[in-house]
Amino acid sequence: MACVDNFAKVLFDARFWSSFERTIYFVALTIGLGFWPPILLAILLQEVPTATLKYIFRTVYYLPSVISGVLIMFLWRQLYDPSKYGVLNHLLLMLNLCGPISATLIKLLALGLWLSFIAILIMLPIRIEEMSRPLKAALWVVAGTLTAVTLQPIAVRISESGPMAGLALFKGLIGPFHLAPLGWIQSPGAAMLCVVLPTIWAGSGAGSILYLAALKTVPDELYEAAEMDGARIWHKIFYITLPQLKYLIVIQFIAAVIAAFQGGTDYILALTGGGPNHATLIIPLEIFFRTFLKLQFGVGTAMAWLLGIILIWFTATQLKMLSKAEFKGGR
Amino acid sequence: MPIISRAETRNFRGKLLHTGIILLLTLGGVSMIYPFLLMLSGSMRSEMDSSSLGLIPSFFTSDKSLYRKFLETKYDQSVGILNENTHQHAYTFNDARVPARLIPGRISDLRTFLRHVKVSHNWWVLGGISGFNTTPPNLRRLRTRLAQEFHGNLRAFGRAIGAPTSSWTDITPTPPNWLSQRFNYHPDPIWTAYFQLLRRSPVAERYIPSITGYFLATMIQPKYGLSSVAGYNRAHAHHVSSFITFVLPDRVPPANHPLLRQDWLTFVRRDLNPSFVLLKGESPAAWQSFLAGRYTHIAALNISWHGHYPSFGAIPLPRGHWFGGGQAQDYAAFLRTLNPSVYRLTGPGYVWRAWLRRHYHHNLAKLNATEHTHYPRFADAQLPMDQITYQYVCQHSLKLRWDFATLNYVNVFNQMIFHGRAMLNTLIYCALAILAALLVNPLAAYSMSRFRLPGTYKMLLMLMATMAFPPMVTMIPVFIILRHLHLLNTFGALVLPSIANGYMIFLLKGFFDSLPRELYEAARIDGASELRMFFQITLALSKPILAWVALGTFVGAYTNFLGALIVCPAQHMWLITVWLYQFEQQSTPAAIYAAVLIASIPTLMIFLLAQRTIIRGIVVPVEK
Repeated sequence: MACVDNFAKVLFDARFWSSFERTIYFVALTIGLGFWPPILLAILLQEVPTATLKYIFRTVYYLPSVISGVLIMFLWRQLYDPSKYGVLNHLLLMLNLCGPISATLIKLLALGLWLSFIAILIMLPIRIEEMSRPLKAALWVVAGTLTAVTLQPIAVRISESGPMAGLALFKGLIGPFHLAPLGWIQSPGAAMLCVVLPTIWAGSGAGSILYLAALKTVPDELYEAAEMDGARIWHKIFYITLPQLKYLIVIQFIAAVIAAFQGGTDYILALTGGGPNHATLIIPLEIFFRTFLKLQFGVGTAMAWLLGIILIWFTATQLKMLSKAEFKGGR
Repeated sequence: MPIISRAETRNFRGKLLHTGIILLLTLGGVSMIYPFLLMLSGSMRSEMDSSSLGLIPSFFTSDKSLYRKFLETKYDQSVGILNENTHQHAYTFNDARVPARLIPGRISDLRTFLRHVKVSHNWWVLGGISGFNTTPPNLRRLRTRLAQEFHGNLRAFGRAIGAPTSSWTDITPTPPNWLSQRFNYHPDPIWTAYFQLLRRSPVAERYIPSITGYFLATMIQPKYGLSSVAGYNRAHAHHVSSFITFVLPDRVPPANHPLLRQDWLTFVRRDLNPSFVLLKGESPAAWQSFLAGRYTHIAALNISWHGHYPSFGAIPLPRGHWFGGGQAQDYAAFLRTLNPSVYRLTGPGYVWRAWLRRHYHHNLAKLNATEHTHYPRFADAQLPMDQITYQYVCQHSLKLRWDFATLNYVNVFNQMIFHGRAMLNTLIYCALAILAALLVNPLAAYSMSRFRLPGTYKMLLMLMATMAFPPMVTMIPVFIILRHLHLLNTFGALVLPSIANGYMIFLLKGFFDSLPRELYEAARIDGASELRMFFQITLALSKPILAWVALGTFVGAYTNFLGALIVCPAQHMWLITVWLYQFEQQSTPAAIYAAVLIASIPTLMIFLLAQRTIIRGIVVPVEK
């Protein structure tokens, strides 16, 4: 009965469920921001024309992963210093030094880049008709989310203080910057994002190596044949490259989800310790605190099992796919 | 093959795309490298310049910054010590005063003085002997000297100083406060080494404690502050033009300066070590009878003073050599019984002024002409120590820059060596882990691939299922098992829990399956044993993937932190990661950067040297 007790204790604990929500948020951020950069990076690296340049880029992007684990967080904690002398804040505040004209230009350029990025996301599935349905849906969902994130502050402003406030927002686009130092890991709203960014920074290069090897297994004849049929570069990427990598991408996706659910403990511990105000307290960290600090081994283990059960479908799918897979060596 | 074909790269669109890709990669590359450069430049900094953000530390390019950095080390990172001994009012070392230029007259005068007048080593302080959370060079030299003297035997050292010491890095002497009446020291090996080091160090690395500075800090600053002379001048009838040129008079101020006289007397009687006070026109007899009255027997005095006097009559009046302890207490008590008009302060500054007077035959104009100064009296002359220091910094700028840039690296290396086994442990552990992984995983995979026993597939699934558990679940049972086996704090505890890896066995089995079966049949016909087939066929043909397994194991072992901390907490079993963890808690960011960079050298080297092998060893899952 004791072990059931522990499970009951966990399941009827509001703190567990709030950290469960945070875990979902953490996983969504980790996957949403961290899953595709290695693929993109691999495709870009593949296109670099000369071998020397390729070697240099590969090494540069791999560089962050030579710093082992927790040490990355020691580094980023210095970058995230919330005073105005922190590295990131210092870079941010340098924008304040721009004159009104160049500041306006920078703002418009940033806005333009952002909007065209969303536009590309929306247009791609329309232009490339034969893209697979899930991919199309995924791209549109991302584009929709980004649009919502962009429009949300404007909508809030307008609904709160009338349409003139919306106009004032656009007026803000003209004239110099008036930025204040950000709190980074000390502001509850941004802390989770700040925890995720270093892992993406450190993991992209190392992750891309696998995709680089996979890209080499794509037979050349497919590209040649496509070219005969008049395929453009976009077509080749979406009709040949990605479908050829599909199996690997799905396996990696599932592995990434599992890893995101299980991982992050030591990173978050080193960076924020679960704070500020529990904003980054995810389940694995909660397990660590319960078992090794409060010495509630039973509760901690029960949480770990619950986490395992949540992931059981992912794990089973991963095992099934892996056991069906055939392994090809890179060249 | 690249997606953009060769034909496409010739036209404009293709070229544009290539340029765009390279531009994008370069931008990303900058964001990858920039933090590293920050870390590299941060690792060369110290407290004073750690908050400035340029990629090149300013002491590389400017002699002024270098001089200030030298001061920071010399004055033990304490602005208070700097201000007191160089008569200034800096808030940080970044605004410490730098001499406008070198004046040869002052330097040669001071050098002649130091050659002719023997300044006792109790009037010098060796700079750079202590620091906050960092190890300045002289402290490192002191530790090395002691370690050599005792042949690395900590226990013998602990017996000699009368306190058990667990590590050479625990030796943290405080700089002597010769001027204070309350300071005393007992000669022990640390002090012997300190004085040896002091005698051999260049003049620029030592400083002469300033009695005037001590007076200003203890008497004037609490009452009027030192940032401006206004408060002082309001209270006093006589005016001082600046605290920088202020010199404490060597005899008690006259009665028409009551406030200064009061402060002077309090300072001399209460704070200043009495050995800096001489007596003018006093005979030793009064002193001897005072002592006789105090001790009645000479033996009692000898015990209190650690001396060997045959009788009270043999005790001379102090003549300026330093003393502390019982002797200082007695002499201070004796001073209080006398009329203050017989007090004469001595000390380096006063001796210097007397020497100047003799050297220039009381010709003040000549002194001012030689030293480019405007002293109204000989009594206002200052010791130009800053000139000698600045000259030293300018002459040795290259060496000093190198020393400052590498200081943190040298310290990290030294600490690793002094802390002994972290590096060796990591090396042994990584080697053992790789060996074990290269033996166990292929053997398991081989047996499953070669002999297709019923249930192999289920077996494989079970092995892989071990990956599904969150690491948290296994950590506690592993610890308990290891404790039952009495394996905690051994290499076994580090290697055994991760000796077999389900994913690697799975990958290896898949790879072995793809090897042609005919090879084994041919080998069997030639009479090869199973072991021979395993080594000469299977392993020989799967070198790339074995390299990948070895690399994965190495990275896993090298970055193992939480597990190692739990199963090997004893200091003699620390790995580099665990050592770094405790190092992080008691160091400056600069030292941490240096340690992180040093710790990432092995992984970087392996990636640079074995990049091709790694990429060839990667296997990609493809749908059957």
